[in-house]
Amino acid sequence: MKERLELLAKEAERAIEAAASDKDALLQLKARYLGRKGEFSGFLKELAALPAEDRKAAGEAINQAKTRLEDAIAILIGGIEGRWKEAALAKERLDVTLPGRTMPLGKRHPVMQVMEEIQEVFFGLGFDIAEGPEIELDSYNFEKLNIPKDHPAREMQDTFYVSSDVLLRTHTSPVQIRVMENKRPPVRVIAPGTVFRRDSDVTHSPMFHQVEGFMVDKGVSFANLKAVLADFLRTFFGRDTGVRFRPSFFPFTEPSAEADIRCVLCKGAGCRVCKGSGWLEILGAGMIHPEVFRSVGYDYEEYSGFAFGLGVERIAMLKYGIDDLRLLFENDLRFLKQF
Amino acid sequence: MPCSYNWLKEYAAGLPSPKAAAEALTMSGTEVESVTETGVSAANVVTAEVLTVVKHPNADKLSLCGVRTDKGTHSIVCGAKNMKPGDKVALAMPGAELPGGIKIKKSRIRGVESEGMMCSEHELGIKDASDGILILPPDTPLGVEIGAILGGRDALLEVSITPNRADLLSIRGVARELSAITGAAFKDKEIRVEETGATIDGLVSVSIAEGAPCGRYCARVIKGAVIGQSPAAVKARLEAAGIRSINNVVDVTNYVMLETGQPLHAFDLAKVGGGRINVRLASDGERLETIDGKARVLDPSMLVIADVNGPVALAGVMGGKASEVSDATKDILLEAAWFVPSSVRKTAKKTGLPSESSYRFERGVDIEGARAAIDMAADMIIRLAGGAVAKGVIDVCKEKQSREPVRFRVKRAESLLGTALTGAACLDIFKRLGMDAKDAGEGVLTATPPSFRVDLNCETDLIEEIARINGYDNIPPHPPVARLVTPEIPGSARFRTRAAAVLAGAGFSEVVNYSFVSRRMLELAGGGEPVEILNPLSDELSVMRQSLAPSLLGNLCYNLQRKNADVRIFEIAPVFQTRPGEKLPEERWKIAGLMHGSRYGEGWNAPGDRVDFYDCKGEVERLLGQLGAASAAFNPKGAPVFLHPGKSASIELNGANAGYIGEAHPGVNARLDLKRPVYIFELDAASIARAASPAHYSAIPRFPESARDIAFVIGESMPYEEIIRAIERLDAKLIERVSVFDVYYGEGIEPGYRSMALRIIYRSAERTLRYEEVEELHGLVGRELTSRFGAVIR
Repeated sequence: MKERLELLAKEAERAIEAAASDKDALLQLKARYLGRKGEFSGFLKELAALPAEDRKAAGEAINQAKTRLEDAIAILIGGIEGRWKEAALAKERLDVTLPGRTMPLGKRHPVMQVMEEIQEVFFGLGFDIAEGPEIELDSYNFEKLNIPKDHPAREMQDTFYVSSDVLLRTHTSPVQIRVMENKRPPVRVIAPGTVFRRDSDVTHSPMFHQVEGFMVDKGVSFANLKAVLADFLRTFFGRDTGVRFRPSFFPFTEPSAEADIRCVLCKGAGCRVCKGSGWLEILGAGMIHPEVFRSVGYDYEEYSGFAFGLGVERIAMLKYGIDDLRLLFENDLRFLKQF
Repeated sequence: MPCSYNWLKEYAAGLPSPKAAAEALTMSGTEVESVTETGVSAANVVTAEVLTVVKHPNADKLSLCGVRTDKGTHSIVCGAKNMKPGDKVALAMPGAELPGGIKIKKSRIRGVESEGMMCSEHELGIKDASDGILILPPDTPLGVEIGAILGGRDALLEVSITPNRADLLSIRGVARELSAITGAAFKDKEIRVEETGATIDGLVSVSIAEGAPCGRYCARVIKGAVIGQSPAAVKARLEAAGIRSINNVVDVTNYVMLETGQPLHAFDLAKVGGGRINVRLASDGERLETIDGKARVLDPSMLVIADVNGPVALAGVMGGKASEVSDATKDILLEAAWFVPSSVRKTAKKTGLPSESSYRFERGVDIEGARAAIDMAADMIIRLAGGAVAKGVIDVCKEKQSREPVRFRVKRAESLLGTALTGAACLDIFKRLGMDAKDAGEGVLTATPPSFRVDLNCETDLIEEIARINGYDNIPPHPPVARLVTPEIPGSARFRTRAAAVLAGAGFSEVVNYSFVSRRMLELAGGGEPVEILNPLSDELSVMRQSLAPSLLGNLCYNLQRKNADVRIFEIAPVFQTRPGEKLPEERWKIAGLMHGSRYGEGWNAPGDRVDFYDCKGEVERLLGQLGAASAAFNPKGAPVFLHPGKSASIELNGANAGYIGEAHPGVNARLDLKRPVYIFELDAASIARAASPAHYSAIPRFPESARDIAFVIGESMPYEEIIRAIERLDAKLIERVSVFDVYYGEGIEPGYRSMALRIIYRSAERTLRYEEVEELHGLVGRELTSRFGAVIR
């Protein structure tokens, strides 16, 4: 039986090979050899006649031969059908380079995007977010920040007044006072917001945005200020950004500092944007002034803190390469949709 | 403030290069904005006098001049027209090299020999452009190198001085600072005034009235001065500082102010009534004509210098016209005083007269510096204008300002700065800064700041000096250690950020507008009396917004003018409303949006539909849904009047007003010249936040639904929402949902009516509804529509 089985399998293989690209012929071959009344089924009937000990091996040999032939036919038919389908699908081709159908595109304003990115960095450092009113009392905007009336430092910030003691806040620093009056140290707060100065030209807008931040605890130092702000600037502008701190003056901090980053355009060689200095002024900071602590009832001997403020428009302009401040407030959709 | 490098070197000869000095200043807290090379670098350019000017024999546009130096007369061909015989000029001799690289040699110009060139300021590299050649003052000596007259090669440091550093508002002050930072030795000038006149006491008297904000008043008298022009070098330094040259005496007061920081004033002594100076507050209604020719009415807050007849100067701000030094002046009364900063500031502000003098007084002049300054000025006046200085100085000193020593704890400085320090190093810094400093033991130093450092008063002031002089670069950064607690965000801020994300996702671009608008724009949206700005930049920016809608309409117009026709924008910002009895107005955050133009944008495969009311409403519903406040009701009444009365609604959440939506009123469109309908919504952020509820799971139905449709004709004024509410009320348990799938007006429907088709989903949460039950309920719906609304079932 074994020889006959092999002979038949060989014959079937040859027949299949010959009919390899003819689906109908292959189906006929399948019926002839493998069908219920096909040639292999004859062998199955013979099994019963074999001695019990040979039956198992013979059965396996028959099944193996059948399976091999079945697979061969299935692969060939699959191939034929596949080619036929490909040909049909090829006729259904789209021009995939035509533009897609979308809903109209909406974008967040670049200043708002940057403001949120800044908040995220500090939120990650565990800074609370706080807000204060845009129309503010003179005492919060100036006096409690160690800027008394008739002090030349008021000239640093030209102010819009609503009445003799109510104004449009010129900075987000009054939020420092509002927070510290209501919360004992330790505090870590970031305060984003809109501020106003009576100044309007190519590089000044009468309204702009700031992010204020401060941290008060026992033992907070200038070295901490440098670490936190340099870390922030490198997170924002890139790990290899050059950062420097130089002394400055703000009435509500002492020592006060200004932080510069290496010019993002010329990398320090000197260009129009950095006015040839190679550095870009990016934020003001300092250790919170003892007078400010006094006005909110914090003990200056026990606690210390740093504060900083940064102009969001300037950072947005640097980040996106915007060369004209006025674009940020014109709200031209051709501009807004770029970010 | 521009600082001449050469001038600085008169006090600190060993300064590093201008660039290095600028860097050192910047890194110690005094920012140098620019360093500009100035002055004449030319050699072999000497002063000369024009003797003759005749036309060039062979050229109409050239002149042939005879020009004399100390060495002889030279024949010069010149193209300029502005010289005449007798003028003093700068003559470039053969061999001279001018800043532009021009080499001067003898040459023949149109057949005539020229033995040099008369120079313009441009050719000398002093100015970018000039008209004609430079004409020097008539008293200029001949044959002197021009650099010696105009100041040689120099660099101008543009120094930005912070308001606390009054002591840097002078050349001497900046030099002193540079010396402290760089270690270059500081050397003060020695001034000895030759007093050859009569004793001052017989000539003038000075008194300071009780309570007058004047701490010191020094006076000197110079008799017999001759008023004239200042030498070019003096003029050049004044001009570089932006001060116009007036005459030799006034120029000296300004020159000495620039050099020492002490403002000075020179009176024509003959015009000071009785020679008696009284420093006092003005009486109400007193008048003074100031040097600028304006008549000022004074009040008792203003400090004046008065003579027996009345005020002759506004103290520290501006002198009086009547007593100013004029060409006829012979005798001079020189003033160097110290006025209380806040008093000068108030007067300068009130009179609108900020001056170089008031600027310095406001910030704090060194009360100890008056005497040296007045001596320097007197000495300089007799050198420039002749005359004799009267013997003695009147020096009325009301308050002797002695500085208290400040305690400085090295440990405290270390903890505030976060870096290690030594007492010895700190002591050294204090001394370099001119303080009288001592080690008091146990880590404590005491330092008495010099009189000119009005900004140093407490320990922290001194700590800043240590950090500043050591250099911030020398404090290594050190991350703080803090308690690990979850940060807080105000819910409202988080909420607004989410709203912005939803709107941007729905195709709206975010705009940022000024919080102030014009009254005209404000009134577009109505509202009560706005918060008004007392000192607006313009009428266009004069009142605080009460609604975001006018700004959005403005943005629309701006974009339409630029052919951006499809506009979907939103803004999230506070609006302001006065509150009776409260100082601060109410600030409420609004979320507002505007839609205009095509629904799908322009695309090859987009239908050209335009947005309508229901697009806008859909966006509001989507937004409210995303914010967890889907239960909003749209009330056809109560929307603001700037909206179309038939195409607008007020939005209510839990029965309270939370905003509005609608098409802009055709009247608004007409005013703004808008051709197409505009849809606007504005929501109150706090109201939404209050109504918002977190998502809560409800079980997914286990039993099948039964859907039934019903179509009917109904009066068109009956709002859809009322119809479905009436249906839903019939059986809250079994009527799961009612929705509309067709609304039809027109052919076959009587005017005033509309046809509606609703789909009603019936379902029980507990079992499968029987056919009969559903039919019965659906019949009930039909009867309700008929009986309640007079609907005709179709």
